[in-house]
Amino acid sequence: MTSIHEPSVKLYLWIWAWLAGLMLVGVLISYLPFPHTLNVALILGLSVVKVSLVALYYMHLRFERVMPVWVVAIFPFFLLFLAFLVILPGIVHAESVLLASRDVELVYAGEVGPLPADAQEVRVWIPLARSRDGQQILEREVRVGYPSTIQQESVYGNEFLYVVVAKPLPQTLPFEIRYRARIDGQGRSADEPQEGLRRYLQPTRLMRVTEEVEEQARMVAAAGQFSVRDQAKGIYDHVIRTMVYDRTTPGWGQGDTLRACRVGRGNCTDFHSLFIPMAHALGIPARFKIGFQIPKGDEGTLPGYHCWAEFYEPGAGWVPIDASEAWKHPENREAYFGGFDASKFLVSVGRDLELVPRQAGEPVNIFFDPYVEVDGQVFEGRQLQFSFVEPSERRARR
Amino acid sequence: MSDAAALAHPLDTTTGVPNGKLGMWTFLASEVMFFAGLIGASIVLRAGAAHWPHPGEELVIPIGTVNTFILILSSMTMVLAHAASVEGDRRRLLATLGWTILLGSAFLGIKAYEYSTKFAHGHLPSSGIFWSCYFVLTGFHALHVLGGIITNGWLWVEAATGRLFPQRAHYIELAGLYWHFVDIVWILLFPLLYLI
Repeated sequence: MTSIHEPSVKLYLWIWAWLAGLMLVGVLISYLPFPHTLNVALILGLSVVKVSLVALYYMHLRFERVMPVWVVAIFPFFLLFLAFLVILPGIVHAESVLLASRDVELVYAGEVGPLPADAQEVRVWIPLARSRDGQQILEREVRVGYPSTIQQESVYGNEFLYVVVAKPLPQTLPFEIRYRARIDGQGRSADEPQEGLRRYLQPTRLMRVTEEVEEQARMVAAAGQFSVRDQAKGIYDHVIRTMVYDRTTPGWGQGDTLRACRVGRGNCTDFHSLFIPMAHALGIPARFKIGFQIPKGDEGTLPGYHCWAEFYEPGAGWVPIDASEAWKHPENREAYFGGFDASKFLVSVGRDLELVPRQAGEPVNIFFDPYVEVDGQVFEGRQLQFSFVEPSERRARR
Repeated sequence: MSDAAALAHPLDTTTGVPNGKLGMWTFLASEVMFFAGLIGASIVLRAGAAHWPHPGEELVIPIGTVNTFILILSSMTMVLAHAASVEGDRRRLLATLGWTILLGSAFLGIKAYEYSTKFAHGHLPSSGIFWSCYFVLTGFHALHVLGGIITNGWLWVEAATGRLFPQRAHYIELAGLYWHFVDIVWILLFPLLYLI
């Protein structure tokens, strides 16, 4: 009776010891900082072993010599196997494809001009990236050939360089800003004082809760979604479903909610100018962010700006989303909802900015390019170049 | 096989498997489909969910671990009860089956404590997709545990009053198959809900 070919009390006790031991190993693994995929595979693998031990020894399949019992018994385990085929990819897929941490050197350079020959005074506000929201600016070197001051506006906390040049004016006004930054979601503080949140429910001139927006938002909310995150996910899916990424139809890039609803086309600005007011319509604070999407690779030029949005979830804080990148990369759609993306370099937050000192013109709709006024009039003449380098020792560590 | 074991399966059948055992396995196959459906649904919902808690974020892993330990232990006492029934040892059967009932009840008690703390924190089945899955899966499992405890309790009374031996001793094996199945379901639910 002590052979493993026959059930015995000793065998039952041994099986129990194995079950308890494997269970503890599984619990231990869940606390270890392995990659998530490995954790899932190991823990589910251990469970399969435990299930098999119970079935083979406690349910006596190991000792059954009659075929029908095996036939009936195999059926459930075949179903379990099928279930696992579905389970593993499902969970593994949910893992983020976004980089969690990046070190980059970035150059934001260009020139304002050519300036009109009869101009008396030119005023320039150049946005400056600063340390915030998981972005750490380790070095910031500003090169501009004229006296300048660093200013900060009070609503969103954006920083910028302010330059005033009076007669005699040069033909162009070159500038260069070099950054060394570490972007890492770990270090970001996501909380926001309660009274500060109210401003993230306010409309701007172009980004506002129109009737259509309100109707669409109500539709999303009515689809059985109850938590803030579920509602935001519903809006996110709605934006991706209804918008088309298109930079050919005139009028794109202004972040005009009305146009986004009517035309259903545009770039990142337009995608998120639909997301943000829809969140506002449901009472969810949301905000606009603009900067760079740094491609994978060790160096290169950057084609231009990229923007994204964040909504505020009580308890969790600011949650980033990127509906236009998700539109372009549907395979990463889950990751771009809520995943911190270390490939995003933040330049400014918010819309309709009032600069310091106050500009003569309207509030600045989107603050990414330098804002320039010549003799009190908005001036659009400029050329910009952006490039980045990712230091190689950092890449090697990844 | 001992005489007592031969007596435990008194009926010859054309399948070569006692009808009771075949019936129990067929029932368990349908039960697997039941839980496979629920677990499968929770996996699909999880894959599409905007947020799913990390291990230890919402559920207390040590409590789940203790409960898993208790249920595995009860499976062991159940199989020992089966061994006692095969050998016709009534005293040992009553002791081991009694422990199985107690351990099963302890599992339910701890589960009830877990539920009450969740309710106290405002986590209800309607509080989001994770909580819906958690309460449906563990709720149905707990009902199965309760069913097992009632069955085992009835068998314990039968054995204590001398009505089990020898003709109906194989009922213990059938109840055991069911109890181990309920254990297996928990062995899968525990990692799915608590650990990954």
